[in-house]
Amino acid sequence: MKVKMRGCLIAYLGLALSLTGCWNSRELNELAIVSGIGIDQGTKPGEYKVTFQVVIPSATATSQGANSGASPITIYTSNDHTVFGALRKTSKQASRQLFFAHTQLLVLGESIAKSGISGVLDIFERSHELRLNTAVLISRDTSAASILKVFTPQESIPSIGLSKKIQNTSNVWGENQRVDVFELINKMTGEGGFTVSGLRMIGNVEAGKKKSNLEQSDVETTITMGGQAVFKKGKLVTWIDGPEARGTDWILNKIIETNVDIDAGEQKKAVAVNVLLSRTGVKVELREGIPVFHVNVSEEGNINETKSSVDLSNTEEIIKLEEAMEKLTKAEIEQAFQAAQQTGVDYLNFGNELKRTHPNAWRTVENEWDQIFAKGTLDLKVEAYIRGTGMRLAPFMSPEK
Amino acid sequence: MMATRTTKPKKSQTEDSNNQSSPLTENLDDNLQHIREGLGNSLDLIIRYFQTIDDAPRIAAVYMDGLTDKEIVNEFISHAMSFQTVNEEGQKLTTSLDIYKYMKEKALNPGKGKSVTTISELFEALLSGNTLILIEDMAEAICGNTSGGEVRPVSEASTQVSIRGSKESFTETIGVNISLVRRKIKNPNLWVEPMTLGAVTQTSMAIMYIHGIVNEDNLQNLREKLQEIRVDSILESGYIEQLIEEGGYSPFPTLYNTERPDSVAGNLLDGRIAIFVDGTPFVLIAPTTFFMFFHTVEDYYQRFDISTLIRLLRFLCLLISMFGPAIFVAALNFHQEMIPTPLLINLASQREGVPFPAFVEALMMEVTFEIIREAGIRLPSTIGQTVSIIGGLVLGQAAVQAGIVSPAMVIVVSLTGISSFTTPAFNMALSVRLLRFVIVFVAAFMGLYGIAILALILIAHLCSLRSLGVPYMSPIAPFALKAQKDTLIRSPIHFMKIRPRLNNDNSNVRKKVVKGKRVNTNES
Amino acid sequence: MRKEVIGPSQLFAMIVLFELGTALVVPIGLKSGHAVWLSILMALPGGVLLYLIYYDLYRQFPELIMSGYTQKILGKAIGWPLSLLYIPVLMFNGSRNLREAGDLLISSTYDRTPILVINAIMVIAVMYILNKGIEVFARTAEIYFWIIMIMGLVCNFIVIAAGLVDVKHLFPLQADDWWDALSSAYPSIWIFPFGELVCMTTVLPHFNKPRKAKRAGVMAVILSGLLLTFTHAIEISVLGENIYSRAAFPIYTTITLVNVANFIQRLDALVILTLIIGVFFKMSIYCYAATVITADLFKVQDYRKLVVPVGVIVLFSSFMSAENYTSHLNEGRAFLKYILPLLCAVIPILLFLVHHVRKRFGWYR
Repeated sequence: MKVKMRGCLIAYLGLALSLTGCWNSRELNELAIVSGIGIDQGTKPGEYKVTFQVVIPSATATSQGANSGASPITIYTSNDHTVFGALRKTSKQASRQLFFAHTQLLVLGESIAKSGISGVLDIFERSHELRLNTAVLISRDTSAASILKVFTPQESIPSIGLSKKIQNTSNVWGENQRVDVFELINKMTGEGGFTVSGLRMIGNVEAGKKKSNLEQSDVETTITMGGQAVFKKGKLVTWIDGPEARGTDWILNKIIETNVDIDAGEQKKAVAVNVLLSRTGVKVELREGIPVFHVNVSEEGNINETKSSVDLSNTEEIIKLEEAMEKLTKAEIEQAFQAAQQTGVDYLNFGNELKRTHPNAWRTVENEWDQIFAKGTLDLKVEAYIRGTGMRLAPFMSPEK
Repeated sequence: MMATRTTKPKKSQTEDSNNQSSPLTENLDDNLQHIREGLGNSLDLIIRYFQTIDDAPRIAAVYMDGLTDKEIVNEFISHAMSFQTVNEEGQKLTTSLDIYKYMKEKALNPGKGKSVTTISELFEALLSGNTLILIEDMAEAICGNTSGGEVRPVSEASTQVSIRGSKESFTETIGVNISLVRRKIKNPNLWVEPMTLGAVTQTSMAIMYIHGIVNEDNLQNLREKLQEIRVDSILESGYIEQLIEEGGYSPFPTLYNTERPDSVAGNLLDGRIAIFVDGTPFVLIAPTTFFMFFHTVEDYYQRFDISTLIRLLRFLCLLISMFGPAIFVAALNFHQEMIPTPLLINLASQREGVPFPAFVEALMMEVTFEIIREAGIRLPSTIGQTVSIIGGLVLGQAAVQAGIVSPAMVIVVSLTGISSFTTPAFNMALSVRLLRFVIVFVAAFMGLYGIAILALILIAHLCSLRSLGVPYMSPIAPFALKAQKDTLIRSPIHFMKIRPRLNNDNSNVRKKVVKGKRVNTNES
Repeated sequence: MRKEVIGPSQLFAMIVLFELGTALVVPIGLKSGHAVWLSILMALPGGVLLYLIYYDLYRQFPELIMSGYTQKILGKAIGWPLSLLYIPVLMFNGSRNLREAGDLLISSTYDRTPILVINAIMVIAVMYILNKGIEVFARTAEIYFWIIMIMGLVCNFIVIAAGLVDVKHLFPLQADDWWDALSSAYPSIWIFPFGELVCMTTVLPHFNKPRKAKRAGVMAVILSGLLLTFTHAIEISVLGENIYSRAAFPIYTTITLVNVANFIQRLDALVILTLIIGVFFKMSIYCYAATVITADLFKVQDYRKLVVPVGVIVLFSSFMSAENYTSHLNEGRAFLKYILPLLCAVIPILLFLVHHVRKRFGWYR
């Protein structure tokens, strides 16, 4: 009996195993690894033009004996009403099945951003292949497709290069912040607006999509970060740049490390302070229907350069510099806040904060929050600390002649 | 080779046993004829005749050449023949009985001569290296132990090498082997029970344990199992291992074997039982747990921190050698998202030109590896070198350059191959290697899900095994906190005050041997 | 045949694995929003209480499984049909667990593999281990307890190390939240996963140290409750309420977000392994309970004979009971609301009360 049973089990097991076949088994050389996706407005209304940047493994610099002549990437473009439809249509052009698990970058064209991006993100959530932590960028004054076509120096795969670029600049400069699909969805489901970093192309696509573009020290076509796109209800309304963008990140507590050039007494912008640590606390309250935003910033940094003659071995001088630093930060944040109030979009996360901490008060202003936000006042406190002055104390002086 | 379990010799066996159990006759020639016939006129049977005086009874000495030490035989015979023809009272020793009595009681040292009355006893004594003296008109023979002959001397262990620790290993002679252990444990409680197994081979065996430490239930269990064995031949301890194993069809060995006396001594001190079989240097240890296969005696000789790390490394290697290629195949074919992007692009570019699916590639490489390994073992060591060089070429660069396999697969296969050699017990390493193929197969069909389910079944199977009634996976399952000091890790010696619990141990505390106490507690 | 015995640490491991099983993976107590962790904490005392009732009944009838003492307490005429009721419910619940595992596997990796095959492979493993007996099962659970703990530790550590946790998502708690938490704790979370421990009543008679059953069981329930609380709190703090409530498998989404140093990423496999192990043990216990109750009611000597039929029924009901995952979830909601409370809480409490009343007044013959 027992032996029989075991026999049955083994037969069953064998049968089940052989039945499985290899439904989900895919060899690596049957896959086209997609490194970046770009989405633009299609030619017909309601259609997407989806661009895929696909890696050609044998031509990448990482692989042994890479064929230097071949392009490490190739571009496929399809039009369809849905993103998934477009990617399936691409099979007409591609010899291998597109594989999305390693997508590094999603570029949304300015055209689609203006007409609304809420429709395109669902597939990123629903699909098990696409990653939620893919970086999202908006192409500024150009299409997503052309952004994906341009080769980048150093990184053989442009999407990886761009996603590293945004990571790098948000780590050390702070004007942009890396937003991934997951954050974007969280922001879209939250209250108010939000910002997403933009990409700009310098030069033209025709030159950039040739590999010869890289055969020069100063590349003809390059892609740089270009401010932050402000979204309201999923639609691009305006762009913010420079201090406004960095001030926004300051309020959002997204500054990781940055540099501020502060005034040293009479000399303007003479001391470079590397901000190494910055924390922002936000509290929102409603005073008689008018919101008050309490923003507390505390930053710490080291002096990395000075062209002034300030004696940095003197504590009082340092305190003065700290005050200047506070002033500069304050000015930047206020500028960003005013810019936000002017656009009438609360992309500074104040609405969400109010909703989280005072859900009852939120309910009273929920419907006309944008107008109420524009009327709100900012209560800003900045504390700046200078912790170090590098390898020297007082700067060197050439003898006065 | 030798017919072991065929029915034919059994038949003749029963015929033989009829006249073998018959008593000796009084006719010397008949007896000698019996012996000659019984051994089929074997070349190594030697019969020497003596006659002291003309009318005295004839005497014959019988022994096997090669099993006996010639000098001892001569000494034995000369002692036996040293009787005067006259006894103290001056009477002539003419009758066979007188000579027999004189020989047994006076001429030979008391106890040195035993009497043998049946043919079967006679054969057993003869083939164990005794010399027999038969006297005309006597139905009894005198036998004396003269065993000796050529044996392999104690030499260095060849399969279980250690950097530190005793270098000696067991030989093929059971007596030497027992003495090697006795030299390590000088305690009267080290008991050795002899027994003989194998209807044809009559192999002598012994079970050794430390009385007072060993678990009596386990011991009784083992005795019963050994007594139940009905087999023609025992040529190696492997026969015993397969005959007393519980559970039947399992890829995992449930008895440990070793050729190191210090390993046996250590296990005896843990309350285990050693089974010695004549003719092999491999001694079995029972009961065995899974984790024993990953321990070596050297673990206790090195400092505890180093030993712990080395032990953990071995368990890591076990996992690698079992699941390494399977996880690689699963990741490559099913879970490409698990691989970091740069690595994936690398792997993809390596696989561009490879014509086989990853599974076939892995299988090919694994089989090649096994072929090289097996060839390397069987060949004489001089040619073995050549095999390893050729093997290195096949498995390595050449295969990659020919575009048959990808470099990453070579790395994975060689890593698993090397990992499997870190398991100190060769038989366990073999089982793991066998299972590796099954796991790769499942991985190719179902990816990680298949591996996970197979691992579940495998662990359930391991948990269901027992060795002499002791759960195979103890002390992890069933979990015993105290025993964790010497399972995955090796804690300092002064922490290990408790012996491993093998069923219901009666003496758990080390450094204290309870003498001659039989306790049968019934817990757990 | 030797009586199979299990020890305290094995019981502990079995209960923890059983509790964590699917509850770790699927979203529970949705009504309470971001305060779901609070709901679990609130349901925990109820779970412990429920276990104590099962424990008390076991101490009163140490040799009998649930169906045995139901018949003793309520009499054969009521007890037998009432016990019969348990068999389909247990099998159905087991099959639901299987379905959840199958669906996660299909929606995560095996989208082209039929659910029949995925589930069949799992059922084969369950049948194999149940054929080996409850003792082997308990020992396997003991090993996997450690594996799950280590994997859980690794996963949690990595999620925290990746800097994904935002405690803001958990606080502040408003008055409404407390109320919502309480209302989803009872009966929803109280029954699933804590009430499901009713299956353990079939395992307890194999316990070798009856006195320790209380301690081991209560500790296991508390530990698993705390682990569930912690894990779900982490999930919410990473995902935020919105995504948490929309995700089919929040823990899976949480782990996909991990990216440490661009190298440790996509640890989905760990989560899937956790689910496979959890579901395996949970389903095995369901199947075991169904098998032994059937064997007990129909006087089958060796319950092993029933393992294959029960396994096959569970397998087929796992994918025939619902056309898709949405209807599966809706069925589950109804099941959790109307049927499970009856079997997990009402009947045991009833048995407990009737037994003590009968004992008190000497109404036993």
